[in-house]
Amino acid sequence: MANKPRRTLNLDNIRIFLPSVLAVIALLVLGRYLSGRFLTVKNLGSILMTSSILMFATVAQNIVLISGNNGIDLSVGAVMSMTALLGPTIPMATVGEFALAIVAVMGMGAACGLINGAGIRQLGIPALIMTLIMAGVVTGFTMYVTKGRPAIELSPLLLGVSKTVFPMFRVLTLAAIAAVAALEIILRKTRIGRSLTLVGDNPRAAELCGLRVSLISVLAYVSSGAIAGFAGLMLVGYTGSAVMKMADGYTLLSVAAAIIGGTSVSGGRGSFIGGALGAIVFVVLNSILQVLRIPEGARYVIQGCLLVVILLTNNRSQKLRQ
Amino acid sequence: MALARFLAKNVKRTTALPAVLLFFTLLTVNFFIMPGALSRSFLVSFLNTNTAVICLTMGASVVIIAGGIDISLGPMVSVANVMLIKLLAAGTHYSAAIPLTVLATTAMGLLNGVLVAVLRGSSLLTTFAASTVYSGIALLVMPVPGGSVAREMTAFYNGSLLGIPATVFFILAPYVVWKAFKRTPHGIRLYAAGNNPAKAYSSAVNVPAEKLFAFGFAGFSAGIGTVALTSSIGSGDPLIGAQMSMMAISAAVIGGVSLSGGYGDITGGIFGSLFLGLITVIVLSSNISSFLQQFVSGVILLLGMIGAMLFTMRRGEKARRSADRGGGTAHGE
Repeated sequence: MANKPRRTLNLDNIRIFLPSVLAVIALLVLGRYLSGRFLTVKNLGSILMTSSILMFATVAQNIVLISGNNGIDLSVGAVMSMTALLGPTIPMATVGEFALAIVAVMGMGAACGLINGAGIRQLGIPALIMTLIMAGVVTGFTMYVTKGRPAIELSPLLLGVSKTVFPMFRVLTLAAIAAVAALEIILRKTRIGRSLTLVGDNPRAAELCGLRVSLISVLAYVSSGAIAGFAGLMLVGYTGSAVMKMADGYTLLSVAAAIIGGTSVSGGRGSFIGGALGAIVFVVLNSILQVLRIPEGARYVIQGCLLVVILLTNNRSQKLRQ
Repeated sequence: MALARFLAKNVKRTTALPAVLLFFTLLTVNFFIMPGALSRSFLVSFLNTNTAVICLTMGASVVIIAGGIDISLGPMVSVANVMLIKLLAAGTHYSAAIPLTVLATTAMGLLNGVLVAVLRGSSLLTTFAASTVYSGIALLVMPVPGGSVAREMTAFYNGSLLGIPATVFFILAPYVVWKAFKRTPHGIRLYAAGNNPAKAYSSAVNVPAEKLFAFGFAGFSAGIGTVALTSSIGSGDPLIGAQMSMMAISAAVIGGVSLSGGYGDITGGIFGSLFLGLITVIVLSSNISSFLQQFVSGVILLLGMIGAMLFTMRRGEKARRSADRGGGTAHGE
């Protein structure tokens, strides 16, 4: 009994990670070929830093995707923009206050997630629609509270997240790696993680096993919101200032990174490490396209085509004839 | 008595009811905020600005009924809009440029259909990827907004034909095509394919073909919507459709089209999009601080969605239960 799930996990791991790892290596080689300055410690460090924010967003997205029931969270970017703008208004003079601020932004995100989860689970509003409307509400709320003013005066502690610890690795990069690894272990080895997977894979079976399906999927949205809230604060710590809608692009990137990382859209299958690798793929790809000075439009075309190819190779639905 | 019973039965059966109710509630509210709100000129200009979203909603509804979803319709409008403007700028006569534009969006819709129905990609993610590609193409064709349309187009669009505002004909074009299709045997097959593809397949329904039609129809509606939109605003903008797919899908869902497929009709979707349009009108005309506008319209939309969901919930469950009876296993995606 104990061996069986472990074996399938290992098979999954290879299949999930290999494409992303190969893609990253290929892209890095390509980048080196295109520009001598691509493989410098400084550039790789900033690629990792950008990736780590996307990694948090992808983790948030992944939790919801794994929870199944056509789960998707299109409010990730809006929540990030909200905490990026509202977070810096919380006083963060001491470490204690900084920790409290982090709790506060995560609470803000969690509140949005709770509304999402309640609407989806209790009222049966499709996740796609519910989270999309929520994104509009959150953006409107941010606009109302900030009156559209950017956040520019940041606490040195918050800016500290982009300090370099080791060459290439900044504070936030290390935090992202640790968080992804910890969450992966929670997803695979703990009761709550396995419950989430089972709920996503087969809600009926989960219910028959005595799991509280509604509660677990509402919790998935709550934690997704909380992590997105955290990611938003970290984003402003990295960029140094925040403007309206600055993180909206992260919504779609987080979906794309999760899918490349092997998460199944039908729920019940996914990996945070895979998602993190997917995030790196997208950030490296983007920076190569920037090195090549490819116009914005063509960048979208290339990313979209890549995504179609990946979807058609690893996320096709079953044949009707069975 | 008999009439009342007939009405009660038919009103109960229509999936459009929540959207119709929401629309007329807001229309009444709007009448109190803005006394001129029921005049012909207001209603015509209201329709003029919302025709594109209405067309898109019809397309999105049919795709959802067929068991899919197309979130690339908005970017398709962007591509078609800049393409139409570029064609006109290159000296193409509008009588050639307009059919070409509709043809292009229909082709894009069919391409989505091939990826989803034939190659079996997940419709949400495949059309998401397609929407990235389409947004990119629109930006490549025309990086910054600009251009102008033939004066005849604007004049025709803002005028009327046989006493009916011209914009109505743009709405009627996809409507008539769908209603005609629905009357053929394919109508019921498309619903069957959306409701339960596995069962439809074993009843000899060509599921991929029905889905392909739905995606093609959505592309066609997007094209008609683009022509209306372009005539209305008179210029090109590569980002014009960015928000539209989601508006269309929300409108369809408010209009009683179930995202699990095979349930609902485009009439509800039309009222859903009119409801969305009215939210904007009300928020703009009620002197709310501009910082508060988006929040208020978001909350109204959320409340409308909750109302529509509560309304359809019991009936939807009933329909689903009767569809599930007999051990259906396959779910759309």
